[in-house]
Amino acid sequence: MTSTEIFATAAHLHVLLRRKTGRVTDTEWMATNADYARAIVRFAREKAVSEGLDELLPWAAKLETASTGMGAPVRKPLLQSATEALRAAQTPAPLASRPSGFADSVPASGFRESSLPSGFGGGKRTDADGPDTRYVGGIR
Amino acid sequence: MHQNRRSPGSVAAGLALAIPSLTCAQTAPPVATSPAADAAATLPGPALAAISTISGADTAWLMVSTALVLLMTLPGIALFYGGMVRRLNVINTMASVVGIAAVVSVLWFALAYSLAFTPGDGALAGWIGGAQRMGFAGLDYLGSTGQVAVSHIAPHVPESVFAMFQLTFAIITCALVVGALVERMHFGALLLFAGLWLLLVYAPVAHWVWEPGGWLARLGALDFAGGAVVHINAGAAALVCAYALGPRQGYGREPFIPFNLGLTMAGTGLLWVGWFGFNAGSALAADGRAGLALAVTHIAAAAGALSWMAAEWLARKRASLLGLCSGVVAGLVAITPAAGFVTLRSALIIGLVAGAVCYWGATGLKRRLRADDSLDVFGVHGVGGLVGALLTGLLADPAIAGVEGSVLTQLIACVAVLTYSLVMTGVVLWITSRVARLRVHEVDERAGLDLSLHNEQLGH
Repeated sequence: MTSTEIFATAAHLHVLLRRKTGRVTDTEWMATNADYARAIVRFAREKAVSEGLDELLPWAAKLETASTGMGAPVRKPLLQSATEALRAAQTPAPLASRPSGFADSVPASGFRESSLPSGFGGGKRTDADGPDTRYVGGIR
Repeated sequence: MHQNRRSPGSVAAGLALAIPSLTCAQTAPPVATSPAADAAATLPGPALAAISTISGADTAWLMVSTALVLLMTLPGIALFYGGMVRRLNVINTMASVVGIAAVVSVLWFALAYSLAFTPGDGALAGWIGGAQRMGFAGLDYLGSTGQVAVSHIAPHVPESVFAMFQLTFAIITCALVVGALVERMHFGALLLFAGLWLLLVYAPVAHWVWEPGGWLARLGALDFAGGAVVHINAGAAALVCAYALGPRQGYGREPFIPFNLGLTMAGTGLLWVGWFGFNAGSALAADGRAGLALAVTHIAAAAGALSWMAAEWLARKRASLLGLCSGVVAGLVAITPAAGFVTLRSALIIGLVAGAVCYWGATGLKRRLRADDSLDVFGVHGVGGLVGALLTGLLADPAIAGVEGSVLTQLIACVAVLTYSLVMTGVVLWITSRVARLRVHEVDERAGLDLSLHNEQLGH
């Protein structure tokens, strides 16, 4: 199953669960994380049985099939992996997206940007960064 | 504060004669004095003096400083705190600051100024002032006879200016405590608490430290502009209030999103500028010490901001606006007791240490204390005041201060003020609770105090 098909399945199940059971799911996460996908499959089947929602069953089966391939490492010969890594390192990074399409929308800096992690807004997110948790128990 | 400055260097000399045991800046080697100042310096207490003894420059600077320090509270603290509370409590927070300013102002001239800044009687002289300036008495200006009332602490400026300058310190100290009890305390109870706290806590502590006969002043404790009197005192009171009132509904479970950190930044700017009056004004003269205090204040504020920012980045990989503002305040708080005694390099150290330690105070220590000190008054002012007071003992330069700093003496002063404030704030809260309900009803708290207490709302 291609990634597009997996996403379509996840999106379909997302809409069905939202309409029929009120459960809100994360479509993108469902299409990429096997554990989450299996949990949703389990939930959909439980609801199908308990509330007679048979239309959930074929989509749950599809997602279950798709979930078996999620996150599985793709095995490649060592030589092929090394060649691809070398090519990727030599290929210049694409320019940042240009919202307006005009020349003046290219990044302002003419310097080659540092690849070091920036301490000012570009660092790793922490558990306290989310909008739901940022101001719990203190404002600083 | 205030015992180290002196314009024509006179009071230092005079007080040193009057109080031989003093080891703080009053004993600084006297510099050139004027005859008029010498005459005034021997005053045992507030008295009438010839207008010719007044220094115009010092008076002008002290009047400007008075305005600057009042600006720190109105609107500085009001904006600083108002921006950090939730949208439904902004008006209540600002009203609390304005109300406290009014209550403290009236009580100051009725009672508190006399208790704090006049010599006490008998065995109580080291603990509390006398009654000679109570009931709005004194502060006279007799144009017909060419006389003006002066304080023995600053005989080169009119007592009206000195008393007003000191009033602004009392106002901001009481207003600082608001940060610990926002969003849940009854407005009337708060005003009653502020009035009692002024009389029973602030005035005695100010007397201990700043009146030449106060026991901590005689011990030699250095507190140029109020590290102990203002910041440790307010921080300790804030902690007690936070424990006594209990946490806000939903504290620790729901996000309490600040209303507008832009207001907080504007308040921080006013605090930073106003602190020039707070510290440089505490020289009580337009002189070299005031100039140095101005410079070290600025350096410490900047260093505090950088240090807090660094600590926050190390811990959370973020540099927040509120962190920068908090770091500025931490640096300003810590330099307060040291402002007239240290070099620029020492100010840099004080600011750097304060920024990092206060970051811990407002985060790690706060979690350990398990109190809903809502806007981190203890974490920033209490901890910053302690850091500043102790570092003053370590870094005070004898060439500047005229006296060697002592960490032990500073520690004694810190412990004394902290303990007294902790205990007496509890007593004041208990007295207040006998007269008024401290905490609003849950339904009012959920609805927000703007509407439930003031029947006012912010626009959309």
